Order: sequence, then C-alpha cells, then structure tokens
Amino acid sequence: MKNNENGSDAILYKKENQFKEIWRRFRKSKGAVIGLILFIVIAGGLLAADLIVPYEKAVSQNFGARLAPPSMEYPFGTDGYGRDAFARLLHGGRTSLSIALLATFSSAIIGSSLGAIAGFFGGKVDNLIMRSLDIFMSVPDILFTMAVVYALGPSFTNLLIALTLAYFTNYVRLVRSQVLNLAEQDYVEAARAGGAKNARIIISHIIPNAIGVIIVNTTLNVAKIILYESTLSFLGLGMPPPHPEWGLMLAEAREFMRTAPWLMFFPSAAIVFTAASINLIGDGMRDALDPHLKS
Amino acid sequence: MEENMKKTISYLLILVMLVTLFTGCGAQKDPAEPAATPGSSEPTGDKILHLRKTSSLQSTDWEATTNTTDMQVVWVQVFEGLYTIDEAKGGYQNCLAEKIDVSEDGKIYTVTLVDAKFQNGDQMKASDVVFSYNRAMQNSRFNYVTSMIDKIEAKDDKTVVFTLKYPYSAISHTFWSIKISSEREVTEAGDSFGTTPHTAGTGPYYISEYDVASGLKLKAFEDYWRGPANIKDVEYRIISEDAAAVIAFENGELDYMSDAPLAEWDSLKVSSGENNSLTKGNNIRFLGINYLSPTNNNILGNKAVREAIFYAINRDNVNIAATEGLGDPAYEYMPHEYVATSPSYLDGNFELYEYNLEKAKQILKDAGFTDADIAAGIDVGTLTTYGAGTGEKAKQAQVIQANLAEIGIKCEVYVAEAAQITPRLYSQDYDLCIFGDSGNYDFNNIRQQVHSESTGMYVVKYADPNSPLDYKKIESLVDQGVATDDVAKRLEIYTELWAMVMDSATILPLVHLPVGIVWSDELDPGGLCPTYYHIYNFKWVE
Amino acid sequence: MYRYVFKRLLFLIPTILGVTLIIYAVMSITPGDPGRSMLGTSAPQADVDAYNEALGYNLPFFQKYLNYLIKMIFHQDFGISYFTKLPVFQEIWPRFLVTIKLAFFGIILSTLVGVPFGIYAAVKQYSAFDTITSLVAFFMAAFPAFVLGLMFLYIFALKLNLLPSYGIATFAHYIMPAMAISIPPAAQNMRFTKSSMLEAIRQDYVRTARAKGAPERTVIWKHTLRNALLPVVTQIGLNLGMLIAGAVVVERIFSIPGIGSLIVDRISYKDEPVIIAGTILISITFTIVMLIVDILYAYIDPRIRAKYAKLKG
Repeated sequence: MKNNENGSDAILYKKENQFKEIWRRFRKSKGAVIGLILFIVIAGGLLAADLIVPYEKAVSQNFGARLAPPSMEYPFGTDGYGRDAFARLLHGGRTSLSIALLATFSSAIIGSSLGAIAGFFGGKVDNLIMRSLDIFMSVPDILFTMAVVYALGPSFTNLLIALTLAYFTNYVRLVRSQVLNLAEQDYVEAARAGGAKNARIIISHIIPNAIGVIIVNTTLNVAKIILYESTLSFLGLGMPPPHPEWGLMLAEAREFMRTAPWLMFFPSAAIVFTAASINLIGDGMRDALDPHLKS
Repeated sequence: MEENMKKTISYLLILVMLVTLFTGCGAQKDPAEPAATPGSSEPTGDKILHLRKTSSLQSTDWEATTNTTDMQVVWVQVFEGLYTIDEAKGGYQNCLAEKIDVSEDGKIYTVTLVDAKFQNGDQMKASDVVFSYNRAMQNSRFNYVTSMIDKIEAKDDKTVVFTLKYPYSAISHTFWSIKISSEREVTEAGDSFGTTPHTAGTGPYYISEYDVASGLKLKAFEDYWRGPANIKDVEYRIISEDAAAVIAFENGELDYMSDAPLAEWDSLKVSSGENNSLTKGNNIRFLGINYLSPTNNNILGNKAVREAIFYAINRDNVNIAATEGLGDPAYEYMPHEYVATSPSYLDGNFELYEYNLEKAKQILKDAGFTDADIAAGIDVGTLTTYGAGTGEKAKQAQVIQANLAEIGIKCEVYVAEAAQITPRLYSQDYDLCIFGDSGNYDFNNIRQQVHSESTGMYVVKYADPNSPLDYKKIESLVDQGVATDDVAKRLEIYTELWAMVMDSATILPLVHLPVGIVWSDELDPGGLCPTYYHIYNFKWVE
Repeated sequence: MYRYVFKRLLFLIPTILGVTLIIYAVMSITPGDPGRSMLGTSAPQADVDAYNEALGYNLPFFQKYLNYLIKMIFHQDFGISYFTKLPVFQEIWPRFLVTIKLAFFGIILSTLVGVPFGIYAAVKQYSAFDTITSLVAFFMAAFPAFVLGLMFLYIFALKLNLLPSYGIATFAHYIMPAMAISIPPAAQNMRFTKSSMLEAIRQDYVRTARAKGAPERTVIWKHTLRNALLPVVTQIGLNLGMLIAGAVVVERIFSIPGIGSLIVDRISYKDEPVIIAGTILISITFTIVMLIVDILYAYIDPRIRAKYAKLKG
C-alpha cells in the first residue's frame, strides 16, 4: 500500500481507496459476510414489521387463545395475554435494537471524545480523566446501572442513560491509546509546524485514523448492550410494559418456562442470533481494518 | 503436537489441583458460625420439616418483620398475641387471652390470661403484656392499631385491663397484631433484640438457628402451654426462584409449600396428588381513580367517564392474567366468607359494575362523547402501579389498558418499585392506579382508605370540596362502625358505607388473590389456614 | 516492580473514596427511604421523618458520605443495616466469600476452556475443529447468562434430576451457576485467544524462525504463545465484569446467598450501609484482580519487564 502523505487531497484519495480496500477484505471473510447477511435480514424484518404483521396483533389480547403453542395461526405461539408472540417479536425487536444502537452510539461519542481529549492534551488533563475513569470502572457496571435505573424509574430514556453510562468507558482507553500513537506520528508534527490548530488536527488527522478501532468496538458493543439490556429486563429494570421488547418478553416468559417453553425460546434465539451476527460483522471489520496490512 | 498437548494437559492438571485445594479449604470454612440458642437441645433424631422462604429472615423481633413470609414465621410460630388468626375457623380466635370481658360503654376490656410460659422458662405475667403493648405503642408502625388505647394496666398476674379512648369494636385486630414477649429477655437484650435467636416468645416453636445468609431453624418448645408440638424440628430453605422451589417440592425436598407459584399450579396439582388446596386469600386488588387528576382537563372528574371505565373492565381476564384464573373476581371490600361484617355482593345492596361493554359505550355516548372522540381515543393519562414489571399488578394493568381501549379510552401503563410509587399514590399524584390491601379481618380496615385522618392507604382523596360523595357522612359511618360490636348493626352501617363508595365510582375491587398450598404425602397439615399456617397443627402421617 | 505494585495498591484509597461518593450520590436520587419501608404505609409521616432523622438518613449526602468515611477509616465500623439492624460487615462478609468462590470458578472454567481451544483453533486454522468451535463460540458468546442458568435449571435439575436446584451446600451446587456464568466469557476468551494467536503467528519473527528451520512446536510455544497470551491476560481480567454481572443474576436463579443478590435485594429498601459496603468490597476485588492481571502482563512481556528493571523497581 503506497503512502501518499502530502497535503489533504492525498488524504482524501487515500480514504476512498481505503474504503474499497476495506470492503474487499471484509468480503473475503466468510463469517463476516454471513453475519452481514443475517443482520440485514433481521434488521430488514424488524424495519418492515408493520408490513409483515400489524402492530395491533402485538398488543391485542385474546384470552381464549393464551399460551398457545406454535401453529399456523400463531407461528411463535401466544403469550399469557393471548398476544401473538411472532408479532411481538418483530415489533419488539425494533425497540430492542434501537435502544442498543442509540446507547452504543451515544456511549461511543462520549467515550471517544473523552479519550481523544485525554490522549491529545496529555498531562494533568489526561491524568485526571484516566484516574477518574479507573475509579468509575471499579464499580461493577451491573450494580451501577441497576441503581441508576432504580433511581430514575424504568423508561426508554432512563435505560438509555444507564446503558450509556455503563459502556462509555470502553471507548476512552481505546481512543486514548490510538490518539497517543498517532500524535507521535510525523505528519501530525508537520501539521502542527505548519500552524494548524489543535481542533483541526484532531478532526482531520486523528479521528479518521482512530475511527477504525471505534467502529470495530461499536459493532461489538451493540451485541453486548443487547444482552445487557435483556439481563436488566430480567431483573425487572428494563423497558416497562406493555410495549413489546425482547428482554421484557424473556422476563415475562420466565414463569411459563415449564408450561410454555417456546415463549422463552424465540426471544432468546432472536437475541442470540442478532448478537451473534453483529459479532461476526465486528470480527470481519476488525480483520478488514487490520493495521498490519495497511502499511 | 504431542508436546503441545502435554504442556496443555500439565497446565490443566495444575489448575485442577489448585481448584480442588481451594474448594477443599472452602468446604471446611463455614461462612459464619450459625448462632445457636443457649441451652438448645441436641438433635432429636426426629424427621425435620422442610419449608420454603423466598428470602432470609429480616429479624427475629416481631416488631421488625415487614414482609409476609417473615411474619408467617415470627408472628405465628414463635410469638403469640391475645388473639390468633385462623381463617379455617372463622377469623380471630382466642389465644393467650382466655376470656375477655367488655364493659357496657365498650371502653374497658378486661383480659384474663391463660397459663403460659415463655420459651426461656419464665411464666407469662400480666406485666409482660403491659410491657409488650407499651413497647409496640412506641413504634409508629403499629399506630393504626394502638392509637385508640388510652392505658393498659396489670390488675394482677393474670389480668390485664385495657382502657380505650373511645369504643372500638375492631380491637380484635389489635389483639392479634400485638405479640406478647418476655419483658425480662427483651430488656436484657436491649438494641440487639431481633438480631439473634431468642427465647422471648410464647409460641410453640423457638428459633434455634438464624444465619442471615442461609439458614433458619426452629425447634419445638417442649413447655408450650397447649402441649408440645408434634413436629420437633423445622428447617426453612431459602429458595428465591419459584421454578427452583417447585423443582425442590417435586423432588421431595420440601414438605409443605404455602403460596405456591400459580403459574406451575397445574404441574403441582399433579405431583402433589390429593395434597393440594387452592383457597381464596384475604388479599385483594383495587383500581383507584383520582377524580381530582388535572389530566386532560380533569376528565376523570366526570363521573360518566369513571363509570364507563368500571363497566369496561373484564374481571375474568384480569383474574386470568393475574392468577392464572385461580383467583376470584372481586366485588367486595373483604371476602364476606371470612369477615362477617363485610357487605356481600350477593345481597344486591351496592353497585357491582359487572363487565358490560355495551353499557360502558352507552354511558360515554350519553355523556356527550362523539364517535369522533372515541375513534381518536379519550386520553385519561397513566395507569400507575407498583411491583415487578412482570408481577400480578403489572399484568392487571395491561389487561385493563386493553379493556379500556375497546371503548375508546386510552391510557399509558407505568410500573415501578413500590418505594417510588406508593408515596405518589398517597399524595394523589396519579390518574388511575392499581393497589392492594390485605390481611385484616375486620371491615374497619376500610378506614385506611376512606377516612381523611388516616395515614394509611388514602389513595382517593375523599375529603375535598369536589368530592363525589358525602365524605363527612362516610367518616361518621366509619366511626359508628367501631362504636358497636353488634355484628348485624355493623353490617348495616358498613353496607351503607360501601354502597356510597361504590356509587362514587372511585374504587373498584378487581380480584381476590388465591393461596395455593401443596404438601407431601408424609405430612398431615391439619386444618388449612390460607395466610398464616400453624406448624403446630401439622403432624407426620403414620 | 515493587514500586509499581505499591503505587497501584495506593490507588485503592482514592478508589474507595470515589466509589463511596458515586454510590451515595446515586442513592440520594433514589426514591424511598428506610423509615417508610420499616414503619409501613400507615405510619404518620412525622414518625417516618423522625425515624429517618435518627438513622442520620436525612443529612445532605455529602455529609453522610464524610461521616461514613470517618467511621470506616478510623473505627473500622461499617455501620448497621437499616433493614436487619445487624452489623453490616457480619452480613456481607460471608456472602462476599460465596460470590468470590463462584466468580473464581467462573474465571478458572472460562480460562481453562476458552484459551486452549482458542490456541488450538488458531494453530489448526480452517480445519474442522476450527470451524466447529468457532461457530459454537459465536453462539455461546451471545447467550445472556440468565438464559443459560434457566436452561440448566430446567434440564439438569428438573428433567434429569442430576444437580441440586438451589443453595450452596455442596460442591455440586456450584456446578450449574459456574457453568452459566463462565460460558459467555469462555467463548469470548476462545475467540480472542484465537485472533491473538493468529496475529502473533503472522509476525515477521515467526517467519524468520520458520525460515531458520526451527521445528513447528518451538515456533508455536517459544515465539507465538507468549506474545499471543499478553492481550488474552488482559481480556480475562476484563471478563471479570461480565462474570460479576452474570453472578448477580444467577445468584437469584439458583438461590445462592451471594453478595450480588444481597445488594440487589437491599436496593429497594434503601439499605444504604449494606449497599455501599458491598459495592466497596466488590470494587476492591475488581481493582486487585486488575492489578494482578497487569502484573502478570508486565511479567510475561519482557519489554515491560525491561522497562521497569531500567526504572529501578
């Protein structure tokens, strides 16, 4: 890979070529492609939920047909209120996935910014941020999120806040070390010598190069957050009823584990498949962005 | 490759050895020495009765136990009051009170005590009764059952005289609630009373081991005043997960399970054969409407809307969701089978609001709501309740939400922890709510909900200029109800009271929760008591 | 080296201070109060307030925080539980040991299973072993611990009646919960070890060694393993978070009297002394484990060792 580092045009050119190159490498990994396809199918299904089955079916109760096993009419059976489990799974997936994505992105942004600031400015700022982070991280995240959701009450926003708080720490260290590496590179020195302001350096040089790592971690964190959110629901601190949501469906299905085990099976499978497909994509991205092959 | 494997295997072996070492140490090291009672007897060699608790015992002091599973142990097996409770035998029964004489004006109760010993060997004297009541009166938790007591005196060792501030026929609940403890032992223990096993009660069992982490063991008190219990050793197993408890029962590790998880009732019925019983518990759920709520221009102040809401509720579905259909739809404040003074729905003296969708829709139409309004959805705010998101109240809320949607009324559901929600309910910061009440066998308990001076469950604020009923009349009826102990008269008064409450369309009984009990073949549980089982009545099958 | 360890241990102090502050801050915005839960719904508000006042509950949280620190540091007194009135330390210590035991099993299991599989899969990349284990690992890593726990309860305790369903009486009682919490990190370990090994194998010095004619096993063991294991060691430490989160949940399912379930139960009673002391204990454990991990890391990595040797440890 030829390195062409004179001026910003060259950087842009390098970027376009890089995208193509990354995509090529990504395609090479069978697992990653399978993951991507799977994820597109899942996400597509969730987005098109309204077309596949109306939201009404996910909330309308039918006590005559409660806890029914899977059948033609109810592909995934019905829950304790007689609601169609398949409809709930589809519509619920949207909530689950959107919480996970939003939480991931907000934690990525907050964490990365902190990490970039710490790494770039170094010295006292760096020390303060990292030491505070160490203290913060030594609180087990599950207890902390529980306390926060308990304090604020269960709701979409509060859950988002709690999840963001729990996961932003992942990014700080990562981005910081990236920034430390990159800040020492010659071209940054050169840019500084050329009179470029700090902000500009961060934005045009450091972030684009750190973004690879951020992306990989973001994809992997989405999966973790989906699982984490379902655990919170299990403990009673997830999304409040009655809106369908995978973690909540699992929590509701728990008491029927023996009488209607399919109610636990399908949301579990959904969570597992979604998380697994995202992990596959993340791995593929990691390989594709492998720095060893870059230079 | 073999060397590779060899190295891996040797790593594994080393680690496995470390693990075994660790567990070996761990097995010897007991988490904490369980505190044993001084002078506790040697293992009797009798069969141990195994029961289940969902969490560890909070305290061995009856004044400090706040949840039902703890009270089932401490309030019934270890301590006793002047009265006891036995639903199977009709409610309050004499216990430590051999007989009680009431004065003409209903203010003086003369109690003759039975001849009983404390578990520490001391004779129970009237002074202990006075001590116990005074101690309870200092605890504001018991304010609502002791506030009517003016003074208590010990006339002699076996007689106690209660002087009330005003006649209060519901005093039986007080006599049940306040337990008699050994003055000597409690005073000696001071602040640490309740944190260790003790022998300060008069009940048929004393706590022999109390380890916060894992164990609770009871032993029979040989000198119990009614004669020693049949079953000598009791051990409570802490099983927090319902599914695990059912498994334990079916594996024979539990001999008796009260409050069996209803979702598994069918399986339990099969595995317990004939040894099961499903009874109506004294635990009821209500829907409350805050007629003062400002939401949507105080739409809930409109009585027609409230009535429509009530008629739209399908209690059968609520029952199915909350109790797997094992409970009973409720129309009364307390089950009339258990409480003689509770107005029965069978008598037709008050509005029942039986499920009637058409009527609900008609009421809305007559009130002026157009088809357009209904199609758009009439917003009544939020249906608030507490407990687990998957708990019975949350389920009831979801059913009701769906019911209301059918007549064009829409509401949100909000469920959170009790600590967060109940203060809001008591300050009327809600639109609709689901709340529960229980455990009391005197209709006077309704005072908590309807009397403005009550600090209890005043969920609907009746004392207000905009009140949908004559609250002064209600409060006077409450006072009249306790002024007499004539059952027929009390029933009449309470019927009038309840009819007024129902007419205002502010509180709606929803469902009576059931109590499922299962036991093993080797046990004969005697007469079944839904809430507070008496181990004293149990015996092993020959 | 020792200076490094000492400095890290010294950092425990600000950690404890910080953790306590965070928890007190969160508790101060949590609804409910011990007075109301102890005195019940019918007690007059004035009495509830008096009860809270006597407990020192109503003080501004910063003052509570300082009081607590002073008591803890100078008197080694962790206070009395608002809920059971027992000394806090007496309540949490035995339960803490139980959770540590469980977490320890979790770490051992997840490492013993994950790492060797990962190494072998990397060495035999693209083989049937590799494909199968990688596939299994992907799915296992995506299972929430509580789902696994419930499944095990159902299968092994109910259907097969092989293992006990609650409590900690014997070693067998720990098997299911340990499996439930260690499978996701084991899968993670496996995948991470594999990719770390693969990366190490591709390094130049490996090619050089091969070119020099060194036997395959020396190549693997001497050159790759050490470098590959470095990030794995860190990963194992990071997995501790996952293990503790799993422990909190499976403690509920298997009725294990551990510290996770204790804290969870007491949150609704606002039993602050127990919650705080418990969280502090867990945080200290966390920090010490991370320290051990970092020391191991420094030990294995000759570059870092050299650096500290130079700095006169």
